[in-house]
Amino acid sequence: MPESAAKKDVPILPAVDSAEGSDAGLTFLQFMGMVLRPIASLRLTVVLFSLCLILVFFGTLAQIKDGVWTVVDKYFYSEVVWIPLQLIAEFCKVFFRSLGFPQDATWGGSFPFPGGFTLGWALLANLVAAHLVRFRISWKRSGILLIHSGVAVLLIGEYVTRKYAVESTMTIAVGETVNFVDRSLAVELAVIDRSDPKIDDVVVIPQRLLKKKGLIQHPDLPVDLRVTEYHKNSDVRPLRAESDTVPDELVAADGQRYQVLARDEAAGVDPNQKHDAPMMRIDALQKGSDEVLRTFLLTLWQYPNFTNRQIDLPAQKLTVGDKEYALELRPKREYKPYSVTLLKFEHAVYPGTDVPKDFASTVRLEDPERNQVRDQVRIWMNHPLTHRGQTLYQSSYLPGDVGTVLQVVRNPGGDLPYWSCLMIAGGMVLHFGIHLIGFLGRRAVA
Amino acid sequence: MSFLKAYAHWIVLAAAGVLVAVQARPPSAHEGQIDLNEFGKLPVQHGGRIKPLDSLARSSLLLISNQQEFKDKDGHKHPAIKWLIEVMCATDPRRGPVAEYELFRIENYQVLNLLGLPAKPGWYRYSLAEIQSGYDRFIEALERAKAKDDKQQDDFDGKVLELGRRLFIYQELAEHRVPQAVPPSQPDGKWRTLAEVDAAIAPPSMRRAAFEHVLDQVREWLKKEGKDPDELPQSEHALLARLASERAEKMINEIIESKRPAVSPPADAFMKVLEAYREGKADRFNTALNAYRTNHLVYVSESDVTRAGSEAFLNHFTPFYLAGIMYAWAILFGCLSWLYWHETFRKAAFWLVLLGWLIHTATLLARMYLMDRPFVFVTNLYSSAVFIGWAAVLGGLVLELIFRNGIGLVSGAVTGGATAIIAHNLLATAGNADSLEMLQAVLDTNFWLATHVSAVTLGYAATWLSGILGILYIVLGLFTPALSRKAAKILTSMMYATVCFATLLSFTGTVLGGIWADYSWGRFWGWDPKENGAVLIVIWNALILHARWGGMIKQRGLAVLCVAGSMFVVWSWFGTNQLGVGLHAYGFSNTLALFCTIMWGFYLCVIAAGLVPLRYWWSVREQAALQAALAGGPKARKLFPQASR
Repeated sequence: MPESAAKKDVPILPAVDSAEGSDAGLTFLQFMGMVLRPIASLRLTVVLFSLCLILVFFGTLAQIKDGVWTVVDKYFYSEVVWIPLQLIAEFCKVFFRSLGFPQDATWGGSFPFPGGFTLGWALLANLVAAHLVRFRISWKRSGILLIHSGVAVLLIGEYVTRKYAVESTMTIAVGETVNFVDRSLAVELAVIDRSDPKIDDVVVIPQRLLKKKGLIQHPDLPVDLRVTEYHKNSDVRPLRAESDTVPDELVAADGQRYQVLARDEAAGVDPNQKHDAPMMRIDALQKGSDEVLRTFLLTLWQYPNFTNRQIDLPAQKLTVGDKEYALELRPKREYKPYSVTLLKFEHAVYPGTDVPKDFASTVRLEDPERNQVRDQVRIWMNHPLTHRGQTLYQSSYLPGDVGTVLQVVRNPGGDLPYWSCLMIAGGMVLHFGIHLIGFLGRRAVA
Repeated sequence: MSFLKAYAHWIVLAAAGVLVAVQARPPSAHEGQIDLNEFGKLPVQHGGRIKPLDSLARSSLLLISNQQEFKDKDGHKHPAIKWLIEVMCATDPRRGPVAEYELFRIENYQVLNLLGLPAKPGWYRYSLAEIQSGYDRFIEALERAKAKDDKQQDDFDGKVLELGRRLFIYQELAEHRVPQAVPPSQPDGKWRTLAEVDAAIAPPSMRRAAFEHVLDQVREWLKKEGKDPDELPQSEHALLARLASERAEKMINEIIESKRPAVSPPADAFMKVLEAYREGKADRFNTALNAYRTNHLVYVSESDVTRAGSEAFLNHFTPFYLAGIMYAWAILFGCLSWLYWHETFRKAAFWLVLLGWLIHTATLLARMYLMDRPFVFVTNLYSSAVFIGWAAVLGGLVLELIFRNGIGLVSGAVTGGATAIIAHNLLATAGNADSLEMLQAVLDTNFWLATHVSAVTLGYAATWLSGILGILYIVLGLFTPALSRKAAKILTSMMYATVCFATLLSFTGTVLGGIWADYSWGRFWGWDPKENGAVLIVIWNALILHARWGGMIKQRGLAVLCVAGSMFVVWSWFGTNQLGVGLHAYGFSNTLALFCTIMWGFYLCVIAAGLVPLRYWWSVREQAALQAALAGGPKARKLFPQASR
């Protein structure tokens, strides 16, 4: 069985023989062997696997409280993560509830743990070293070699995806044509001058500056801006009673008044998870002075394409001199060399229920640069449209089925997992197959 | 004795065959009896699909009382369909005989207190009549609970909402708002509920007008009697309104009855069946039913009608229950085979497992036919349990054919039996108790369901099977003298092979899931809890293999790690679901979370037992003693005579 197989392997790098090599010094190969041998150790593999298990486990638990992308950044795409002990309490709250575990337990403190990058690179190093030191290329080991190469490709693929993949959404109402996407994970503040009927003059402030808070000055801005508050997520609550008043209420197009509340980030495992709607409070200052012209409360809820939105909140307006500017907190916008027109949106349900059976968008894609028109393309569940290396998926829809939300993805590492899994699955079949046949053969003989 | 020894397994198989045949015989009403079985086969639309009334009856009863049968006042058991038709026939569903059945399951003491009901330990089921006395208080509590935010609801609120849902199911059935029982009366027509048909004949405005008309009549009459209707005391006012509404209701019902045959012949025919039942006239019932079947299902596709009939038969056949019985007996015979008459009992166990597995297989195929999804084994948590059981039994049978020592049989049968129980409980706690429920839009693709979901589920099954082998190794070694060197070696090979398969399957399944995700929304890996759960199983199995290749673990270590692998299965299969389930799915999450906790506790105990130093293991000491007395060859009892072949 395998133990004996492993022993039979003749290493590529010679073992360090102290009796022979003591005087002559180490040859390069011997030196390499000495360095690589501990890195190549199977014990290290097992330890790394255990650490991965713990990391993935806590990375799952962390999603009870935090949004999935925050967790992924903190746990899996990081060198070191500080794991709060509170997660263990959260686990106990769910599973030891019946044993009377207090539901309001809070455990302070946290401990450091190697993050996904550290473990990923360590596993890769361990793998490569093992092949250099221990394995010889042979028919019997071919499966292992294939599996391990596949694992390496998988790790690299995930790294490439993390570094270079871009996800965004394109929201289109029926009949509308759109040539830009909303980057899902970042927001920006746009100061828009719509006085020219043909072209909007837009100044955009990236999320990075907004999150930092403080003063923002730029020659193109009609005013200086000062961010005084910034929250990752917010919620809007209708104010029903006449007597209910709050300092900065928002009034929707239908006259309903709303209150904006700062919220925690949406948790990763929340089954009703929606996108986060950041909110901020901002002072508009007379350029170069400290005089506050007006204070604004801005939230993503005011952005027309925000898919959670069921309420029509008008954009905030700022008047400077004789010009009017619209202030819009919106997802980071990226313009595309092509445009998409939504011709039709279908939302089928199972008969006699509200359970969705299918969503489908029929679109026309126009790419003037390439002189290309793709008309009547149907995008539906599991049937995306690919153009210029970007893939458009049916993702969601606007309330009342008035429009569609397409997910637009560009992932240069997108093919790697396919190759990887082919290699690994093939390798496993090969490896276990060789052993199984051998094993059954021996039994038949015995 | 020798005759018995030689043929006992055939006798066992024959007995099992008779049991299956008896269960498979369709229940037929005697001449002149109400044929409820035929009624149960009637197709209706519910939950987005066409299903037989029998399925609706079972799932509704399961949701209300956690059982698929019910007991009448004298303690006699009856099928769910009898309850359904009585509810549908009831003239006043809140009183009358149908309100006397003890069905509504309430086990929370606070809720019982609220309703002023005594606890009924071990039964916990209450009739509508019993609930009636505290009904108003209950409705108040229900409104309060509904008004709260999900996160603010406590245990009590959860239980109140649960009972509220149960009462609602009953109410909807009684008011004919569920199911859509009226088939289309033209090609491509829609199914409607009986209540919709009635509302089309007598819309609310008509009801209001009738009420006012009656009220006017009464006022006229009062005036004639010399009383001023406006001067009546408050209590008499209410009485007056009630009487008027009852009278108006009666008028409306008469109008509906008279117009229904013209407006919707199928609805009328269906109501005739109910009417015949209400009057207890068997002949009329059977004739009306027959007329309905032949005349009014013309625009329902023939395959839907046949499927509904087959589904009703499958419900009655209770195949998983039957298979479970086979597995239970197989476990008994398998264990006996290690003590006496090895070959006889082993063969008996083998045939039982094989028979159980064949029933299992046939049912899986039947479910594919009912859902019209070839090669799709798993569509929800319930079917994942069924499929895991099926695969583990198959694995056990294969191991048995290779090793011929009973171990494969027992471990396969244990998994098969356990998953049958789990599946039943999952169904009872699921939102709609419909094992053939429709799929969410994104899941609606046969190809990925057949490949990814099957592979992942098979990975779970193999991992779990390896855990059971591990438990066998530890229990046999520590607590019995039966684990000889040879047996231990064989058991180790079995574990090792199973882990290899588990790695292959869970890895392939996980990656296929990634490809599916990439294909449908452009993201290969999303780190969501379920994905993470699957990857934990892959890493764990890989860890076991590497630890073994590195010589870090030997036989006992392998067994312990395999048992721990089952803990990961419990985590990925059920545990991850619990994290996100908000407080709105109370009963469900609490029972499943408790189940996870119990399973983990059990596995931890086995692991602790496995870590007991080897010198205390009975089998190890037995082996040492054997070695000491080696020369003469004292007769040691061998666990697996076959193994020495």
